[in-house]
Amino acid sequence: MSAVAVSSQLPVFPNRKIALVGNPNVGKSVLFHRLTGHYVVVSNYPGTTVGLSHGNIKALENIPVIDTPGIVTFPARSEDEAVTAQVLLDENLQAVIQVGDAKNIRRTLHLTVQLAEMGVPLVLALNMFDEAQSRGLQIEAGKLSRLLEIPVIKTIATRGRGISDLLLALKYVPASKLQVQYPPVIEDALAKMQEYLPESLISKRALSLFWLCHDSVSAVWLSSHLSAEQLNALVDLRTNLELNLSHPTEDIIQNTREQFVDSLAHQISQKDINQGLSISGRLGRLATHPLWGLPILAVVLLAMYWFVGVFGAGTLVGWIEKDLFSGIINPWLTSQVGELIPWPFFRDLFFGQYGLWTMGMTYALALLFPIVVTFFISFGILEDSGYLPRLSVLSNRVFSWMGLNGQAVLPMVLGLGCVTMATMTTRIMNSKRDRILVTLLLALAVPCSAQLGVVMGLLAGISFVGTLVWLGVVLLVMFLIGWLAAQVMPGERQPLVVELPPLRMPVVSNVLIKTAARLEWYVKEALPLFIIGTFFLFVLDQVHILPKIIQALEPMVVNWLGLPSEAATAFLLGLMRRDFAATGLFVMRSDGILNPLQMVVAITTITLFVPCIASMFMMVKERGWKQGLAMIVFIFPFSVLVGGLLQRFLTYTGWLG
Amino acid sequence: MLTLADIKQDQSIRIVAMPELSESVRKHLHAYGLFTGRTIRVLSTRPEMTIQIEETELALEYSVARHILVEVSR
Ligand SMILES: Nc1nc2c(ncn2[C@@H]2O[C@H](COP(=O)(O)OP(=O)(O)O)[C@@H](O)[C@H]2O)c(=O)[nH]1
Ligand SMILES: [Mg+2]
Repeated sequence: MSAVAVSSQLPVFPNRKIALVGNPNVGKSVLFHRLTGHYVVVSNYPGTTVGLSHGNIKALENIPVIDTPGIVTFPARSEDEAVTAQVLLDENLQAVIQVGDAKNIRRTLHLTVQLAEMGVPLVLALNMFDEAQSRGLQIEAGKLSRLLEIPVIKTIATRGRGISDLLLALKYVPASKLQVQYPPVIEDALAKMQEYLPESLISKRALSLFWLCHDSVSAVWLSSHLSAEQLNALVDLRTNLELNLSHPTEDIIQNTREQFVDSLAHQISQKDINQGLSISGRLGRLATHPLWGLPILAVVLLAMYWFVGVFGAGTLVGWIEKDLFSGIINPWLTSQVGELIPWPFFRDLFFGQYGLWTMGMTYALALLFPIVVTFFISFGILEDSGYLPRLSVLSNRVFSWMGLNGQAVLPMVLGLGCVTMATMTTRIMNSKRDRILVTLLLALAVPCSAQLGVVMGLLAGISFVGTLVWLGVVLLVMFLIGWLAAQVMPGERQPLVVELPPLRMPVVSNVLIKTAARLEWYVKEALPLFIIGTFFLFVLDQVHILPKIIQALEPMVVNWLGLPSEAATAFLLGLMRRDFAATGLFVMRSDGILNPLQMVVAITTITLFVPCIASMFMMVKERGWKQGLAMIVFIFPFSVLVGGLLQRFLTYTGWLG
Repeated sequence: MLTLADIKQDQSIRIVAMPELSESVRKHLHAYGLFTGRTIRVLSTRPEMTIQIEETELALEYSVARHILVEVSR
């Protein structure tokens, strides 16, 4: 599929790298794995690719390759885009591979033009060629290559097509020479800037364009390479230019590029008309259809419930927790290793009732791990299938009541798996206001998979009405608090603008890699929090404070919530281990001291509590002490308040008699 | 003046201007190739507006669509 004959072959330079750059979701990561041939450390924020992945291309003398986060256009507008811009400024690159979506040729070329202006050695990989073809889009890669004077290779990363051509092209990549002509005033400014700019890894012209567009990444770089006078001269130049222009400079520059790209696209691409809608296209429409969207959502949720709730939390936890840990590992460790520890204090610390191993590790590895694994797999499938953005369209109205937009559905759904991780994912949201709102709602009204498992198990024992009451109250609280918080929070709501990628069949390896990366995160970040939490509980127990706290809670539990005093223990321990709360309530139910009404009240209160001690730590870590604590201090009394009100309401109406 | 929010399903239109949109939203739209002069197609109007720019489908809510001035392309 090669479009360019490789004329000469230069040796690969030592100490140089190759960078993969491109719009989000064009197949950079898949191509990265194809090139490196092995799955290397993927440094992922959960949810998005933030940060860089490093690898080596064996076929090219092990030259290092970097996979960058997607960038839509320069100047960078978010933290992860800035990472990509930084790579171009700082790394001495043997070549930049722009991965482009062949079917969105204009959007791809927009970035190509900007990269080419930088004068870096550039190769364009026109990826997703299969999708372009199936939509009747003809692209003449050879002609494009001649027009831009850079190698252009057609690829289908998922099937490994075009990789060998790409490798061949990479052996020698000349620096690109493309220059777009801007209006004379801008060209003047660009010319004047040349004398002030220092040498850099990208062309002075590109650096000047960055400057005129108020790019912040290169501005930081410039300020460390220029004197104050030089910087002032640059500022004056820019200000003068802006006074002479009727539109923002950036708009004029973008429009010039747009015209250039448009004429390019006309010359090299052609679309067959009368293409019918594909099956994936039709399904995609249905998924956001006001009517059909809902049954599709129901099927998705049901499938997830089955896989995570029934298979993960039921079958897998049964094997691992009951058979493996409680049956074999823990008794063995306690008797064999525990006996070797001469001091009772340390024996208890590791193997006692609140032992770091018997409670903390067992909970994190045996109970949560299987649930989290199955959840991450299904979330990865959802993510790769392209369904999630459609869900945000479907739910946009609902979230707009809460001062958010449909994009908030992502952390919320992730919260159904693990609130701790979802709290961290709020980082991907654009405004601080949204991050605070979503963090609060996650802590208050989104039960995590461990919590859901418990709640479902308990509710199954009582009437269907009980389940509805629980669901109704939790949703009501979410909307009410969301609405109130949105009223008092300063800042404006961001409108929804979201790309709907084609629905695709998820690639197994891609899903597994993402799952592995998230599990790595879970082990590194969440697991230690459980250990710390257990230690906390252990200390409270050692200094004999635990019974006192439980005693102090009893009046509230009995008088306000109308529950038996034993429920206080379940509540407190439930903070650490969801299943302890469940077991406690189960026992009380079978002892006949908990009627259905009390059960619903207890479950609702527990659901509204912060899910676990790890998620509390995470809230504080992400939002800082003040905000984190404020939320926690609000949530506990508030959930008890709601529980008590519910108890009175249900008693009054006699629904669960 | 005709805005994107007035357009029916399956109609093709040309973007005329995007005044009054906040800087950040306008930039966001530019990033997807939604420039003045581009021809786009409306794919659906419920629950939010979905448009097609080249082969990209973009969903945007009405509060945004109302600020995009358009003309029906011949
Ligand atoms: N049909 C098709 N899908 C592809 C191709 N390359 C990547 N994909 C899919 O596009 C999606 C995004 O790929 P990814 O590598 O995560 O994109 P990135 O955001 O650029 O790193 C994944 O679902 C891939 O399976 C391709 O050549 N053809
Ligand atoms: Mg990626």
